[in-house]
This record gives sequence, structure tokens and C-alpha cells, in this order.
Amino acid sequence: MSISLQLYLLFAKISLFTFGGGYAMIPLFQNELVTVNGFLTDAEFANMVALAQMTPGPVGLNAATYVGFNQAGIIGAAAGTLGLMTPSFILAVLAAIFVKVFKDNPTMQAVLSGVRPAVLGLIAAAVIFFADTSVFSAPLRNMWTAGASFGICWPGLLIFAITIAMELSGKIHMLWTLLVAGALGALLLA
Amino acid sequence: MRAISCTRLFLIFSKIGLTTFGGGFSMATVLRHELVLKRAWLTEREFFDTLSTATAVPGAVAINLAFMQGWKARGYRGALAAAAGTMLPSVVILLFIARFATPYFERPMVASFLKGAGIAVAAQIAFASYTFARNLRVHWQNVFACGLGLGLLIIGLHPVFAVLAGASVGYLLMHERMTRPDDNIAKDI
Repeated sequence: MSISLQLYLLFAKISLFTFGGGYAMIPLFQNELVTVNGFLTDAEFANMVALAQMTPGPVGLNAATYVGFNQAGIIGAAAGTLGLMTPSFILAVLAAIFVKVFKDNPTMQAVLSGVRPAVLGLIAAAVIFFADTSVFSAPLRNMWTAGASFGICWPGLLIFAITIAMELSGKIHMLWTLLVAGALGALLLA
Repeated sequence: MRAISCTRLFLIFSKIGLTTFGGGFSMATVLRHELVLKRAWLTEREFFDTLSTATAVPGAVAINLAFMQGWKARGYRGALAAAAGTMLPSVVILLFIARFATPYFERPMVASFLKGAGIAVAAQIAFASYTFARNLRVHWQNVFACGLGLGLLIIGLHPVFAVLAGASVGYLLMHERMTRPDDNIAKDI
């Protein structure tokens, strides 16, 4: 089996077995890429994840591109990326059709009216994960075990507050808030 | 939603892909900004229903979102245009980095710039959840489902369980009330 086909099938499989995307995919990526196939060492994998988080675009997609490129150049990158997208395409379009067809069904409406606030909770949790090691000195979920060593990184909190203020003004594009926060980070967090 | 050409979809989603860092839920913030607030192509409600479904379907949330929004706007061709737009900037940037720029990422200045940008992502998501929460009515079912979603994720469970928990709350606790015409529990947003 050619390496490109292998990459295509591998990322299609990863995509099919991960729900929730991004960070949820990472353990599965690690298992497939490091443990099962030996494409990457543990250290290379950690670098790859950091890189995928730092660059724009979905984490899973970045990882597929990076691994594909390292294994088999541009063709490999294309194979990995397409593999990741194929199951999503089929299932997401089916789901969109499903939602459209049952939009006015009372059961469907009841289910969705419960899901909406739950998704709000999910998004709020994403705030905590993003702020974890930059605004707080330890991951928030270790708050009780970390004890005295758990603290707030004040420059981090300041950047958070400045970004919120820029958002509240409603006039500043999101990309600018990212750049300003990045520049402040380079000054204050070094 | 108004008719949008596939080229427009491609361009809008490449902009979204370029300004998204860190996957599904941060992309959702950018997407909401572009499609709900700036262009008013979607209502808050339509947006959140698509986001819930994109989370419940296997695969990367961001890619699922692009496929679903593209499909709603312009059918299969729209789905492909939106997904291609989302991935193109990140694929190009990542290929460039993989080829040339990996050493620079170890410089402390670059690392702390990215850390600062990460805080901005957290703040953007916090702001988006606040503006969405304002649209939901305060009744115990909503608060309960929201707390479940937040709590399940914080204890380390997979996001799909939060969606399932919300669906169960909706089905078990809101279903009966929704069929009563005088009760507007479902008229949120």
C-alpha cells in the first residue's frame, strides 16, 4: 500500500472516531501516529501539537497536513488532509439535511432547546482551557490539588481584560485583538 | 439566508480559517462574528443549532461547521467551497512553517507572542458566550443544561457527552412543556 493511501485511510479513520474535534482528537492522534504506526517520536508529537495550536486553522487539520508533509511531501499533506475531511463531508451534510427535515418536529425542538444551553456551557469550558496555563499558573482543574502553588498570572489577566474591553467597544476586528494581545504577550509574558 | 456565490463562501471561510486559532470552538466565535453579527445571514438560533450538530457528528468541529454552513447556503458545491476556504490558509501556512520556519517557534519572543494571542482567544470566547447567554431565558432547565455542559467538560469528559446531556434534558424536561401552546419555554433566542 502506498504511503499516501495509508495516510489517507489513517486520517479518515481518526476523523471518523473522534467527536468534538480539536483537542479531543489529540489522544487518538498520539495513539495512531506514535504508538501504532511510529510516524513520530513522543517529542516530535509534542512539537507538532504545539505548532498545530499556534498556527491558524483547525488543530486536527494542521496536524494532518504536518504529518502528511513530513511523511510524503506535498502529496502526503494532501492525502492526510483529504482523509481527515472525507468522513466529515458525508456525515456533516447528512446531519444538515436531517436537521432541516426535522426542524419543525416538536421532539427535535425539545432536544435542541436542551442542547443549546449545554453548548453554551461547552463554549464556556473552552475559555477555561484556553486560559489555563496563561492566566492561571496551573491548569484550573488542578486548583484543589495544586493548593498554595495555584495563582493568577497578573499580566495574563490584564491581557484578558484588555481583549474583553476591545470586544465590548464593538469596533475592533478580532484579528486586531489577537495582534494586540500577542504584542502585549511578547512584552509582558517573556 | 440570502443566496451567496460559491466564490464568496470560499473567500469568507478562508478569512475565518485565517483568523481562527485552536480549533472548533474558537472558530465558532469567529464564524458567529462574521455570519450572525456582521452579515446577518444566520440568526443566533440557527447558528447554535448548527454548532450543536457539528459537535455531535464525528470529525473536526471546524470542518463540520464549514461543510454544514456551506451546504445550507449553496448545497454540495457550497459545502466544498466553504471547507476548501477553511483549510487553504492553514494548509499553506503550515506547509511553509514545516518547510522553513520551525526553528523560529523556539524563540522566547515568538512563544510569548503566541501565548498572549492565546489569552485573546480565551477572552473572545468568553465574550461570545456572554452575548449568547443574554439571549437565553433564565429558567432552571436552561441553567441545569448549561451547568451540565460546563461541568462534564471540566471533569474531562468528551464534548459529545455534553451535547447528549443537553439533548436528554431537552427531551425529558422540556418536551412536555413545549407542546403546550401557552408555554413559551422554547421561544428562546
